[in-house]
Amino acid sequence: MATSHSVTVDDPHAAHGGDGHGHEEHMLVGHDGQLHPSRLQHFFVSSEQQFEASKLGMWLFLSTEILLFGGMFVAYGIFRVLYPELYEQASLQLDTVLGATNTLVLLLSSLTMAWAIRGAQMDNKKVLVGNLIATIVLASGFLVVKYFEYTHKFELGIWPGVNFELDEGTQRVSDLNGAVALTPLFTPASEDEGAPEVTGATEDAEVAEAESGALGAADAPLTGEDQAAPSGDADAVPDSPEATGASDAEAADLAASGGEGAATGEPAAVEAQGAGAALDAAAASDAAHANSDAPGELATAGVETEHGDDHGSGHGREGEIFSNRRAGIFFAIYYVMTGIHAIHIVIGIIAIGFLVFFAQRDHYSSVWYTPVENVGLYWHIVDIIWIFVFPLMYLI
Amino acid sequence: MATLTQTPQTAPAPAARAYPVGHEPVHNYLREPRPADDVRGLARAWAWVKSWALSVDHKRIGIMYLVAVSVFFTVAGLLALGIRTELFFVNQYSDTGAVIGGNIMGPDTYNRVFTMHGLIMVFLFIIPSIPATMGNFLLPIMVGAKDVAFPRLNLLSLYVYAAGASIALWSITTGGVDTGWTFYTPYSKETGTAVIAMALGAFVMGFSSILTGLNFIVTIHKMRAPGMTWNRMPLFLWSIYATSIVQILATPVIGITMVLLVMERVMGIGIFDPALGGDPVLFQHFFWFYSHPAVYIMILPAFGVISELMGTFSRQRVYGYRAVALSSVAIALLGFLVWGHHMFTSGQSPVSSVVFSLITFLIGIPSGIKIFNWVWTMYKGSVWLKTPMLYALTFLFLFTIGGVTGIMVGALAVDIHLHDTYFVVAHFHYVMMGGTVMAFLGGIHYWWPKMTGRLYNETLGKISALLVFLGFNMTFFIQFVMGSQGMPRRYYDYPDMPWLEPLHQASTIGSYVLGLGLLVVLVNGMLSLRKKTPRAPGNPWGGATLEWTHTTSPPDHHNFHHTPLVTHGPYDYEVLFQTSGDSQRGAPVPIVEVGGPQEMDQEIDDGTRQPDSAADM
Repeated sequence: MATSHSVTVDDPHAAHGGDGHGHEEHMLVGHDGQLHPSRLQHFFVSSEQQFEASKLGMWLFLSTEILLFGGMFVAYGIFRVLYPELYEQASLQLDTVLGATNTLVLLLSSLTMAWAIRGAQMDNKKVLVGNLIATIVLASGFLVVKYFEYTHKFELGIWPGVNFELDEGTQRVSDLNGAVALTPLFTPASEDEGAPEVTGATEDAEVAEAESGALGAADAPLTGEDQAAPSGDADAVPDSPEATGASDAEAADLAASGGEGAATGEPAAVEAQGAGAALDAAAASDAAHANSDAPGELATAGVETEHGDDHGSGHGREGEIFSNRRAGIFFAIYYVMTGIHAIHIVIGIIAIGFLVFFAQRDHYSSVWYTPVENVGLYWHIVDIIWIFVFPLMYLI
Repeated sequence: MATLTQTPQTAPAPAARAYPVGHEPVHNYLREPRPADDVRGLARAWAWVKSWALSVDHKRIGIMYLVAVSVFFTVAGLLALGIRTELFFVNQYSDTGAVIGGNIMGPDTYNRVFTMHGLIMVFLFIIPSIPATMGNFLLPIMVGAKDVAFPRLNLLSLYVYAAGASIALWSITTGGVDTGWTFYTPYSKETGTAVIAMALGAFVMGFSSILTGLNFIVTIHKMRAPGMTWNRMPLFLWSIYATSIVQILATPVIGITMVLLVMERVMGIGIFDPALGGDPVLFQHFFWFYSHPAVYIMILPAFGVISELMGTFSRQRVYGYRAVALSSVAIALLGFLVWGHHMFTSGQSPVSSVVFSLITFLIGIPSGIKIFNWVWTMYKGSVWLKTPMLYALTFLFLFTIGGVTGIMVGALAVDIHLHDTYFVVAHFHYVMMGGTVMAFLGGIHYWWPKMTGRLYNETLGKISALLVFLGFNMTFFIQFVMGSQGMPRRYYDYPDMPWLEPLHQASTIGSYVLGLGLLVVLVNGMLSLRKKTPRAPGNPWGGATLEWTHTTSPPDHHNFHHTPLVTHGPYDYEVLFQTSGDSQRGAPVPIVEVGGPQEMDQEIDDGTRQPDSAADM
């Protein structure tokens, strides 16, 4: 059975082992008794085939990365179209200088990565290892900047989604849940026309009152299913003058959004003050959340909104965004995109760390440097994704 | 390229033996590596477990996938029987509205049962069913390679799949999920059930799907044997190739969707939550951007299996080879453009609905091309009605119904009426089960001798095909009728439609027959593994693709003793066996013994020859 073999001239493992650069590859005896290049796995015919397969695999993997981020870019684009004012206000909160710094850092790290690959191709271990380490340092610098960006925003109460801290006190959007009868996205046109115009000063005040009444219902359970809207509860609101003052700015904002067209939510609150006029289903349930609690709590809640605002000055909480109740959506996309990008950076650092480890042990040469090449491709795609994230988030 | 040398055929395989010298079963992938004789008891068992669990052999990985998906198919099938049993009677209610009879589970349980049925069937069974089992086992052999391009990645994808499946099943212990398999927001955000675990499970399993697809594309591109041109690839490979494209391009989107859904539940990020200004329809777009192409991940491999079965069992070249091959790719690409037909009633713009409807009709064209070509392949062929062919014919019948009803619900006006009714349920079961599962069963029967080296009982096989065919139609054809009469899907009870009770009962009885048929399949397979079952010859069906002509049953550890040189197309039966359907009508199909080198094929000495092969002795 165990016949010994001699290497034949037309053995492709021998014939195709090198790359024409004059470097003889280290040969090993495989389990089939044949000599083959040490890096060549038995199921490949030649080193070229193995290299090309690895590279094609990497490109396919990169295409999945593009689609992964593509989903987030689509979400970004859709909400940009739906709420353009939100994006204008929110992007002012992002630090362009830090973002630009990070862009430069990443571009530089792509250069060092490419340089490292060149080092491997030239059998220059010093260039290879040095540039890999430089890449790690730059990537870590990127993460440090990102850390300061994030923590600064957390201090300001800029949280994603429901936890975004609005200017109405320390209340987060979550506390307002139910009261935030935001515009449904696909409201039939007929309802738009039927909605009362929220433009007059008196109506503004009414909206403000209704809203602050809704604020009072902060204790309403998030997932309350009660559909019964006790109309008239909001009647208690005009008795608390503080509430009116507190929500004045908000009322103006709502009036503005009411002008956009599909303003069923807010008018519903107005109507609830009256005698429970016919509401559409969505608005009815929102109003139910708003009014489900005992009216007695409303006054105290109104007082809370007055005194709770300790973010007003000195922390950089300036801008209309802090009274935009959809702010959480922008920052949700911001944190998810930059967060997943940062995770990719971390993975890249770990991968490059492995490259350094093996490069120190002379695993790579001009004959075989597939992992360096592939990690380099990965690093470039992470870089390119940032090149798109930066202007979309920070600049426009 | 290595020098081509003609191997002298000095030692032809002895006709009397199933295996040529040096190709005895002891060398096949099922039998090695074996521990030394003095390793006994638990240590021996542990060595056996390790030899499977750590194997990077694509064949062993394929078998492990087969075991896993069979288990999940059984679990989800039992859940389906539970659903059907619940619907057997209209529930009886007391004056206070409490259910006092006619039910076996409460409405909440029912919601969880149908959701888990859908989720397990889709993510744990159908998506990996054909690509991960037969694809893994056969793809490298069919292209003439020793393994897939990245064997360790292949093993990793198995474990990623196992991890994702574990996370998903773990959600059952915390109460299951009741959202339906579609996870629609905002309900999936509000419900108290284990959506997070299930979404993470789907996310993790997506990685497995991506890795498998990536491996297959690279293998097909870079590792085809000399002579295996694109136009000589078996149609199974073409369909797996098309499937892999979809897996790679669509799966990341469900990944990010599931991440966003989990974020929505954990942190309330609000982009799918209308209460915060988010957009639940965006979730539907994201979900279907993956899940409609995923439908083609499920059905395209089935097309490939059927192409193989039609050729082999008609003894004829598959008619319109290029049209069938390219229609797979066309379906894969068009499949990305039709997701909106799931959302005709969601409030998307009427213009996009019209466009989606139009493209949905277009995708019927490549599907129709396949059907016509398969029928034409059988025409004037020497059709051999073995069990796999029975399943293939079942596929042809059921998938045609499923496809045509798909065109019906793809029409805008009709869909408004039929949306979310049993008509849709029946339609996608005709495609998913009548299509994919029939092809899966046909393929398993076809390649069972290759995978296990054993022949199953043909009579039991035919009985199972009959039971499955009858049971399936009884279960689901009636649901077309019920759906067109307004029976909504996912409903726990139908008190307002008592006239549907006999139809529901017939459907339930049909599901029992279907279950019995599948049980027969399982029993038949298990019986065939007994020691006394006859060994399968290398090529029991007279197939012309490499796995039949160039390997033993079961295949050698390295698939081939020599890298094959491919000199003919995958269905050139007349070249290989001097038979073709037209000239040999009614003639018995030859049982071809295959072990080592085939006389009609040249060999390429590329230095990868095994020391134990006969020619080297």
